Amino acid sequence: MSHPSDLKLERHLLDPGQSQIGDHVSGCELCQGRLLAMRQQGEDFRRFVYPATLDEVSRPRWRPRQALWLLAPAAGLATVLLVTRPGPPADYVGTKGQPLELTVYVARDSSAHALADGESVPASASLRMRVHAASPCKLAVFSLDGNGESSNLYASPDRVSGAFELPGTVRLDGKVGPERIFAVCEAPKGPLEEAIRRVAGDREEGVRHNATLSDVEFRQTSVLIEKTP
Amino acid sequence: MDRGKIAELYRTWGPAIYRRCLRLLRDTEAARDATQEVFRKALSSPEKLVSADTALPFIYRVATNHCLNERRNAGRRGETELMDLDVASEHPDFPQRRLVQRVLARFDARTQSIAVGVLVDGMEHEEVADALGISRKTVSRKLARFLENARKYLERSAA
Repeated sequence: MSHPSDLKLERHLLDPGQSQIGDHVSGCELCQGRLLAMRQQGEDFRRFVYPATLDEVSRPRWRPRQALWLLAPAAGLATVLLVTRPGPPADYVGTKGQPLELTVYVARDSSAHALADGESVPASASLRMRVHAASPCKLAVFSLDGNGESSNLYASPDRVSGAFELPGTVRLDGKVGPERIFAVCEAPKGPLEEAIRRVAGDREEGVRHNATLSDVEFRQTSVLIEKTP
Repeated sequence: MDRGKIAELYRTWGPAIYRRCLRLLRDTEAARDATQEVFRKALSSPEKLVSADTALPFIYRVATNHCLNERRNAGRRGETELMDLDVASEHPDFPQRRLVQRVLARFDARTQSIAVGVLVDGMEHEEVADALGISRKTVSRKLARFLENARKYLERSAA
């Protein structure tokens, strides 16, 4: 006998009157038990998790107070960002992947905005990046776009640790679509290239859905951006 | 967005996020932490939290990606307790009752999401495709590759 998925049971819990699985549930002891357990977990959330975490999730996102975008005079090609306040707090949603963290900033309304994973940016935007490595790390940062093309953005000549701002800005290529920026530590060239090829082979879907490179042992993290017209 | 609106959205969708995280992480403390993170990520697209039609698949996708990533990180740290997941329904090409983390960890993030969706969550291919925002063909192709390679791996491990 086939039973409805958790997702269908979630819909049922939200609105039993509109449920498409009402008939099944009413005659299925197993699913009634699953719903009972789900209701209990929902009650646990309301009693314990919600009150303990509401302040945290309600806190405004961090934004630098003093940031300035200047047009670089040299050839008028690059946009330079001067961030005068250190990086965001550790709980910022755009930062992920302990013990290696990557935060990507874009200029917005005369300030630097830290991008959440999957957030949209203009296809020709200029980006700056900040990495935090909990332990010494031979760092490499690269991006992979929806056409499966990778671009090396930075490679540290020596090991770095702690908070580290990548020098300069990265100007996006103007092509609409997803692009994922990876930061990796101590990544051997061969396994890294093989892992990139696996993701690149799936083009846009690969870039969107592979937050990490698989079958590799080194530290890594990534941020997905969606380039829009 | 003001605190009142955030609180309302959290009351509405928090239980579903918490259940999903609990399902994948199998630990109340880890699920609590993950619920906060997932909700904050979900808040970056508030338009998707307006109705159940868009919110539930969106929450499923964000929570699944986040929690599978947490599991991978925990695996790298050697924290392997409670890591295996119960298989929801029998599959002819995957006779195991549990989807063990050491098998799951051999595959890329998307394949892991698909395998968990079908084998652990008991979803139809089309439902997985809708929830993850990918094509049904991709679900079938990735799942077939997962089942074949997982079976070979398990056979090798048993030998």
